[in-house]
Amino acid sequence: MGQKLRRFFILILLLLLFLAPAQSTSFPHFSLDFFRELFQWESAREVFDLDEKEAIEVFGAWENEVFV
Amino acid sequence: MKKDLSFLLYLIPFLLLFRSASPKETALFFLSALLHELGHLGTIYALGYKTERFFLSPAGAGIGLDTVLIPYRKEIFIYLSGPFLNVLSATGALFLIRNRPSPTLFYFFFCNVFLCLINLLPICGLDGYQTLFSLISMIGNPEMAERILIPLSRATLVILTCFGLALFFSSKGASLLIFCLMLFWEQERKKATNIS
Repeated sequence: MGQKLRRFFILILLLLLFLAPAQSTSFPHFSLDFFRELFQWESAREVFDLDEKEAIEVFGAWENEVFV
Repeated sequence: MKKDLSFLLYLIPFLLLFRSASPKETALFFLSALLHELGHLGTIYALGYKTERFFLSPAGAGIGLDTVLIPYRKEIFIYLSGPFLNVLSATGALFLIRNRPSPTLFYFFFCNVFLCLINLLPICGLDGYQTLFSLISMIGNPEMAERILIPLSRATLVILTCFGLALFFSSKGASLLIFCLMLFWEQERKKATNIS
């Protein structure tokens, strides 16, 4: 059973490696998206104590929100 | 002599997670992971123990000690020191971001927070699980710890996977799902090791 499961995990990972777009499995890309999902623009700016220009430089733009 | 190269398979998930990342982003993640391991290592040496080997597992890196006879209280210190060093690094990065904002520092901050939080989860193979195991064993006994923690570990992993699926379907990427797969793999590996 263990061997079969191991093969299954490897197969899924290999499928992702060859079929999934690189950006969809990218950890750096995920970090920013996940952070944006969790925090609102204002609270993120407050946590890091950034003005609007600095915040755009660090986080980019939030979805569905216009800053510039 | 036949060498076991199965650990090379553990590199596939990392290849997936960092194939489109810049060398700097990859280096920052591994620096955060290295700081985590250095936290464990520093405490091991500070408590007067010696390391025997370093190894890779589906859940990341591991450190083998030259003894298995460690008091539970000291074990807890060793397990928590990795996430603690990540908290220190994240706090340092936060301080630097406030003075000199940069996407690089933010990413380093995120890596450390992520590694700390993921490692504190009560999932088999992670520091959170091992800490709780030592804590319950100290209060009760190891059998009791196993009875409580094995179902808790499975439930937590299922919840984390659901969260990973939700993020995946809201097009936030498959990274968390890949981490979940690595943790499932680690659970199976541990189960196989215990049986054999």
